[in-house]
Amino acid sequence: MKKLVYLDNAATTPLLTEVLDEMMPYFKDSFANPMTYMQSSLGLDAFKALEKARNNAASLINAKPDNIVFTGSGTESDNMAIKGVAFKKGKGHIITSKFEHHAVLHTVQALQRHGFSFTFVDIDKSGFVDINQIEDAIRDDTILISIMHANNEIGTIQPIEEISRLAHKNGILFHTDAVQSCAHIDVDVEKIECDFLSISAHKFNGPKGVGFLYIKDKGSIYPLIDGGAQEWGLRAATHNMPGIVGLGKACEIAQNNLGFQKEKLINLRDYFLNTLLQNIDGINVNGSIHNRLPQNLNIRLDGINNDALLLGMNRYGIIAAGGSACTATDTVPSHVLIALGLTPEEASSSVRFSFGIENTQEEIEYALDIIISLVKKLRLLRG
Amino acid sequence: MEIYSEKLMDCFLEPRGFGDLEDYQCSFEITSQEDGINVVFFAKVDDNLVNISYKVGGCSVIIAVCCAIFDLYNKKPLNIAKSANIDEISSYLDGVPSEKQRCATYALRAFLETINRCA
Repeated sequence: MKKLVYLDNAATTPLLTEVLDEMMPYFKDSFANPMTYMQSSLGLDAFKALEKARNNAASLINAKPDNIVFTGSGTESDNMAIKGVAFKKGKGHIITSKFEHHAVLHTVQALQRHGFSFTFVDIDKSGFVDINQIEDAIRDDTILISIMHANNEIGTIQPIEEISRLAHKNGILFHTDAVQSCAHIDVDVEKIECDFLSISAHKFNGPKGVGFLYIKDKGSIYPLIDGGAQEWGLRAATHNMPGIVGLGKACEIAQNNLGFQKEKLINLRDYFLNTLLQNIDGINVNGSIHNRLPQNLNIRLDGINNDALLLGMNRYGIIAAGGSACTATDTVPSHVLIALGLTPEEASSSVRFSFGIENTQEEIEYALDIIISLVKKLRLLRG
Repeated sequence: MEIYSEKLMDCFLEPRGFGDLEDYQCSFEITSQEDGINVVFFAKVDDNLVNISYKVGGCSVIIAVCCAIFDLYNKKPLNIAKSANIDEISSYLDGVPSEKQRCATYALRAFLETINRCA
């Protein structure tokens, strides 16, 4: 079998075997609907599994289980928080940043069709939002501030505790998308004092198609999906039991391993970067290397088109992500890198490496040898 | 179905004919900052046969197309080189993804401009 070195863990992570083992019974034998728990022992077993997963999810972010609402994804969690607040309030103004995930950016933009207005604040050259700019953007009718905990492309960790305090000082609700940060660094809703926090299981070795939204006050939003009474009527639909059980197990494993994982990922990342710097000229880190997720490294390589490097790496089983994407009519640079102040050309020479708990030192050595060789070869072609 | 053919991957990973061309008679360079590409062809004509080389920075497809141009038209009569077209190159590479036609065209344009300057 072809060797695989997966360095795109910010896109998604592999499912842990322990997580899959926990999920398996809920695909077939333990198929009951947990909402039938009052009359069915099979339903009660499912309900207990549901609540165990809820407890694990709550514990990971230092929340109470009653504040956890299961959803179908991080994107749904973002939509639920932002649209839920907007529809409850009926009108108003929302503040977010230019380098949010599209799950936030496009959701806020979509609300414009319903009469809401918004302000997108800038980020600085190091990849951090400017709190003063957020403060300046606050209006009498501002209903929500949504700033991500850590950026998905450059990994910079935002000062969300300060932003949350600023929001509350002005009577504004605060949401944070913690999809990239949760299970990789400490995420504590009591410290952040956020009103909403979005999570997705597949970003920390759980299954795809399941996430949750932390909601401090369930009366502060309207549901996004109406129907049955599941999740306190805030998210109707029969529970995705295999997914939720898998999410719960992934939360439990992440909580047990958080400190160890963090140290391991920082060591791998820093070794990777330092070896590249020692062997190749013209490398710059996009965004600050400080206050950054341990698993994230985003670099630009002078004179290298990321498509060529990534496709060359793929030939050797090494997977990472680029800072731009080709379409038939143009090359679309990452909105995050453009917000950071990079030119389209710099974005097209940028590559994101995101490490995972299953990466080994041997894999990193192998990847480094190939990448260094490919970069030299591509630069030779350029002359 | 693979997005990139084996032939295209071979030309991309093991490109032939790149580098300087001694005593070249003409050259043409195209740069696009938006697409992050830079391609320059060099050519000279001896006894009606073209000698070519190129330097290229850019995506996998532009590199593969430069290599294909070298394979197809180096040491060929001038009129054959002047007739270079995207269909012939695409066919040689067993196809070019539609998203990458633009990059392929950059290389072809640079080559044809170079050849026309020699003619």
